[in-house]
Amino acid sequence: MPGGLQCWDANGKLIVDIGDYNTRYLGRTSVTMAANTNQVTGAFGGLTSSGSFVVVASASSSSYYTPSNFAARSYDGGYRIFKLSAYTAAVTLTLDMYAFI
Amino acid sequence: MSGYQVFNSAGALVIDSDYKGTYYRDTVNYTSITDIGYYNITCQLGNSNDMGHANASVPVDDNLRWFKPNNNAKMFFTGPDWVTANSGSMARSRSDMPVESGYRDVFNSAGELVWSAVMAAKIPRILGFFDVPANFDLDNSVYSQAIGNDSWILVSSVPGGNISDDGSGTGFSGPFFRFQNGTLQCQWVNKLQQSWASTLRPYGMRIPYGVFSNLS
Repeated sequence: MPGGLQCWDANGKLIVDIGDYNTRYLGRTSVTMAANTNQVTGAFGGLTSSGSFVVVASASSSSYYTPSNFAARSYDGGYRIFKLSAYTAAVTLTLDMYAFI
Repeated sequence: MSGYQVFNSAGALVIDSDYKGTYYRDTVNYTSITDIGYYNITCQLGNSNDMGHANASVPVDDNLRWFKPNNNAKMFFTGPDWVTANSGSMARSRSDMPVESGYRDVFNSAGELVWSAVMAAKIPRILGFFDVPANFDLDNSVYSQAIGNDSWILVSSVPGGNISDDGSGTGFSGPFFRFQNGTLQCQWVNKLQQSWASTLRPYGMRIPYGVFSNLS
């Protein structure tokens, strides 16, 4: 459904144009990656492969993980998380979901 | 069911009264760096002899992080971010910032303001996507795309960028970036850790970039 919106501020500067994309916050979830694994997937309604992204907001574990240790990618109806670091302990991640299409 | 939706010229949903957006919080300039050259990350975009941890590095948490690189900056977003000196600026946005009312207001069903024409100046305008295609060989080649000189890269959607020590050795993995003359370049680097081929290669990588009207 093509459409378009334009807005200007009080000085006449264009602040929204017809081709812009905007970010929508879909919500938060958590997922646990078991010890000695490098990948986990989960379902989340509204996510798409081309129009969403997943942010690792925090990591909780007995080992020292940070959100930077993980790579996330959405697909239609869910997400896939990869562990990049060489740590092996289990970890629970807090994930924030966003859409832009 | 009542509600309000607006679509853009490509048919993408830009305003939906059921969802909050993300709203500008603040900006931090990345100027000085420490631990210069401590890690040796070398790829086709250069090496890390002139890179270090940004002293002002913005934590990796539930803020969305947006980075506007300066010309010739090199970046490896690890938190603390590993970058060249004076590499650029990091803006933050959040979904729970107060939304200012004005001109046209959009509320959700709970009566909460989620968008307004005044607040739009503090909502990042996503103009395009840095799209590394599925099956592109990012381990062994560079992906480049023009994004313009005023664009903010949505770092929070960059998959990884990780330097860590598991007790037996220090390794790293993730997308390494260089920005030159409006073009963003990227290669996946990896030592003792995961390659692009073993993680995201079948799926590709899509990173939104855009502008903040209140910062330009």
